[in-house]
Amino acid sequence: MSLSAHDKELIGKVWTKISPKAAQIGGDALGRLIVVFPQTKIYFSHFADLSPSSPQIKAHGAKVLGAIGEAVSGIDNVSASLSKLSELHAYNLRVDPVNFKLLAHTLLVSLSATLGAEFTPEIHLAWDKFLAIVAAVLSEKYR
Amino acid sequence: MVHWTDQERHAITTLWAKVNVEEVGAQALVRLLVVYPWTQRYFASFGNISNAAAIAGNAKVHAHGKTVLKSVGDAIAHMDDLSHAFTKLSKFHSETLHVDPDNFKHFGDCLSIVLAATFGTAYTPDVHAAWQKMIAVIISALSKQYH
Repeated sequence: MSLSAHDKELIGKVWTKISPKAAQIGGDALGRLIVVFPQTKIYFSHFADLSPSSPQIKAHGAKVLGAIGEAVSGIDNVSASLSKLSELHAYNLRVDPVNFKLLAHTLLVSLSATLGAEFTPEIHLAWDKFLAIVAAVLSEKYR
Repeated sequence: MVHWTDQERHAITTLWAKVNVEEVGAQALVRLLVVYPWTQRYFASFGNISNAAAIAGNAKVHAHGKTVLKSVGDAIAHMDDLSHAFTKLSKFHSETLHVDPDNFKHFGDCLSIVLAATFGTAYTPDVHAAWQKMIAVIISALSKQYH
């Protein structure tokens, strides 16, 4: 699976549009992850409050979406752009890779809720592919 | 037998009451065919579904989307005993349609995303969670008769 020039254009366009709200969308996506897929709580046992309104959840979600922004900037070589994060996930965090798909889903839901009809099927496809690539890069050093 | 909280029942049924079955069904099925193109294989008799524009404009896709979403409505009406209520539909998907059950999950994801696009902030994390559970129960019931 690879991104066409058209996919990259759509991904970039959406990023430009949402980047003023990136922190809020990231927080929303992470908040949803914990509520919709409660098994993910295990990774945040050090957070005092796991509700979507928690400052820690919002801050961490913003951080995650910031990293995705880095991947958008370096979309021609996501593996290089996210190399440090890939190592972090492999050697320290050891998040079960199945959770990357779950977060990809909640992020697509957050984007969809924000963009409405502008989140067209083609844009949904491009972002679904892109997030799958991000997930693959984050798990590539696990074994 | 699934345990539903009052909050979950309320979230599911209140949102459902506002859903335009034809519109949401069509959008969800269009997305399935665009985002997961291998699913186009199941709809070879629908005419031109070769690209996103063709899929979005295809009358048979729209009609079938409505059919599928009507079944989601049936599922909600039988949410306390869905495996039993969906026995025939499950057998149909397994023995006649030969749909790979992974695709149920893909459709479920598309439906959740269409609901988010339609309802925006009203599709709160709690409402989203209740619907995710409803979708999981539907997928389980539809997969039950596969062997």
